[in-house]
Amino acid sequence: MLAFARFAAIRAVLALITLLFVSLIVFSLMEMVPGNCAERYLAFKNTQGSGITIADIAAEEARLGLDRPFVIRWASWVGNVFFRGDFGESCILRVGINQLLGDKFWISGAICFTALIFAYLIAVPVGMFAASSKNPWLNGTLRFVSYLGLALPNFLLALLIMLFSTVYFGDSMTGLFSAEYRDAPWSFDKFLDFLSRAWLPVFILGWSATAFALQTVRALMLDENGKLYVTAARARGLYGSRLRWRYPARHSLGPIINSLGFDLNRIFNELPIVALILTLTEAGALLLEALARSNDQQLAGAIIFMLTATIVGLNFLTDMALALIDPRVRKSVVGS
Amino acid sequence: MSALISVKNLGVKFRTDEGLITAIDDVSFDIAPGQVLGLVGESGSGKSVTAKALMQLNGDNTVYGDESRITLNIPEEPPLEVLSLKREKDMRAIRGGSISMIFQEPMASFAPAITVGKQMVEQLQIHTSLSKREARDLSIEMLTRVGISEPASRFDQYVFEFSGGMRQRAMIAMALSTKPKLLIADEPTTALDVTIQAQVIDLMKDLVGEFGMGILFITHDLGVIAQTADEVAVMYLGKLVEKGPVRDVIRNPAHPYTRGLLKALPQLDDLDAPLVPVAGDIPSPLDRPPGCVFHTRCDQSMLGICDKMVPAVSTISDGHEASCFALEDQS
Repeated sequence: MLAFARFAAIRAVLALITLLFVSLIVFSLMEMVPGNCAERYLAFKNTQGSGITIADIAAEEARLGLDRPFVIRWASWVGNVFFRGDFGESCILRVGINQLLGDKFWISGAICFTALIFAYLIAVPVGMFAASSKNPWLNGTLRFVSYLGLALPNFLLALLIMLFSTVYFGDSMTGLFSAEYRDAPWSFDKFLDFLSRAWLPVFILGWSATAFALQTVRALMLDENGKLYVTAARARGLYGSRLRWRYPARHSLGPIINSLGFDLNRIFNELPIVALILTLTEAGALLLEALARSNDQQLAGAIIFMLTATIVGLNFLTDMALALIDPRVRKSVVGS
Repeated sequence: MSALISVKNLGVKFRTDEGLITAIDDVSFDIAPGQVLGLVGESGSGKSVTAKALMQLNGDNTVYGDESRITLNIPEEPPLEVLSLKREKDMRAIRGGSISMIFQEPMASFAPAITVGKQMVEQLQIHTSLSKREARDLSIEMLTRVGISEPASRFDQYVFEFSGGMRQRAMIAMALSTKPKLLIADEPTTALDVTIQAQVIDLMKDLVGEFGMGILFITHDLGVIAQTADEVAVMYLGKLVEKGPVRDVIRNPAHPYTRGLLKALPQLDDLDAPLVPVAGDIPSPLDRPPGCVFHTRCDQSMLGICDKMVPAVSTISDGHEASCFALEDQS
C-alpha cells in the first residue's frame, strides 16, 4: 500500500510538472498574439472616442506590470493560478476572469463528463456483448446507430431536434435555463430546470461519443477474442459468458480506460458548436467568443488551461485505475 | 487394443471471402493409449488445424467434411463422436478434460492479468469435483512435479513473471492436472532454447509414461520427433504423405517429401556437408495443386500422372504407408 501511495505521489508530481509546462505554453500563446493588454485596452477605449498617446500605453504597461520580463510575468500568472485559483483580469472588460467565467466552466465540465459517463456506461457492456454475439440483426442495428452517430454532424442533430421541438412543443429547447431562472441564484428548482434543459446537449454529445466508444470497445474486444489465451481457455473447457467476462472482457478494460482522457477532450472540442446552436452560456462558447471575436487572450488562456488541467487530472485518475486493475502495471509499480 | 482416438477421412475447409479453402484433405490416423504420434510438416501444412479439429477449436468459418470422423474411445465409456458435438457446453468434457492441449507459445496461452494458479484451479473446478482448497493443493503439487521451485509462491504469480522454460513447464502442469487421456502438444518446444527444449521433452516423456496417455506431438523438427515419438505422420498441404513407425520412416523414407525433409537436417557425422533444402515454397492454400499436392516441388514428378491424379496409399512395410505414384510402380 505504501508503494502504491508512493506511485500515486510520483504520478501527482509528474502531473503537476506537466501542468506547469502547459501553463508555460498557454501563457506564451497568450503573449504571442500581437499587442499586449495595455495596447488592447487603450485601443478599445480609443474606439469609444478618447485619444491615446505612447505615454498612455507606457503608463498602462507599468500599471499592469507588463514592463517586467516574460519569465516573471509567467511566474506571477502561474503562481496566482496555482495558489489562489485566480486567473487575473480580462484585458478588455476589466473584470476578473473568475467572475466572468463564473460557474460556466463547471457547467461545461458537467455536461462533458455526463456525456462521457453515459457513453461508456452504454458502450462498454453493449460493445462487449456485440463483439461476442453472432446475431446479424443486433450487429447490423448497432452498426447503423453508431455510424449514424459518427456521421451525423452534431450541429445538424441539434438543429433537427430544435426544429422538431419548436414545431411540436413550441419551445426551441435553447439555453441552459428557462427565462425565469436565468439570472436567479442556484436553488433546487433552478437545478431541476437546468436538468430539464441540459439533457439535450448531453444527448447530442453523448450520441456521437457513445458511437465512437462503441466502435472502440467492440474493436478492442474482437482484438482480445482473437488472442491465443482465449483459444487456450476454450481448450481448457471454458465457454459462454464465463469465458467472455473473465478473459477478453477483463483484458480489454485497460485500453478502454486509456481511451477515456482522449474522449473527454473530443467531447469538449465538440461542445462549443453545439453550445453555439443551442445558445448555451458555457465555457466552450465563451472560449470561441474570446478567441474569435473579442481577442480576449486572458479569458481564452484561462479556459484552455482549465480544460488541459481537467484532462491531465483525468489521465492521472486513469493511470491509478490501470495500476489497480492490470497486474503488469501494478507489479512494475509496487514490486512483487 | 482399440485406438484411444481414431481420425478417419478428416477434411477441413475454411469459408473465406475468396471461397472455400481446403486446409485438411482426407487425413486418417489412430493414437493408442501410451503411444506418441509425431505429426511433422512445414508451417502452413495443416498440423495445428488437425490438432484443433480434435477439440473443435477451429474458428466459426470451419466446415468439416461429411465423411470426417473423430472417435474418442475412453476405456469404460461409450465411444464419442467429437464432430457430432454441436454446442460448446457439450464439448466441455473433452476440452481440458479427456483431451488437453499445450500450445507453442506458453506466454500467449496464459491470460496475462490472471494468476497462473487461478487459471489452473479454474480448469480443475470445471473438470473435477475438487474443492478450491484441494484444487490449489493439486495445482501446487503439479507445479512441483514439473520442476518449478517454490511452487506455492509461483502459484500466485502472473505468467509474465515466469521465465520461458518455466512457462512451458507450468503449461504442462496445467494440461496434465486433469489427467487427460490424450495430450496434444502443438510445437511445445519451438519457442524454447535447445537446453530447455531437452528438459521439457524429458519431462513430457516421464509424465506420459507415468500417466499412460496418448500424445499427438506436433513439430516441424524431425530431430525432436526421432527423440519423442513412436509413430510419425508427415503432413504436406493438408495431406498425410507418409506415416509409420518412427525408425522405419527415418531410416527408410518412402515419400520424396520425407526424404527431402531428412536431407535438410544437418548431418552430425559430416558437418561440412551442405544442407539441402526442399526446393520451392509451400503453395498457397488458395492455389492448391491438382493431383498429388507435392508434385510442384517433387524432383521425381511424372508429367501427366502426378499433376493429374491423386496417388493411392501404398504399404511399404507393416504399418509404414506412403502416398506416391513412384511407389505404386514398384509394387
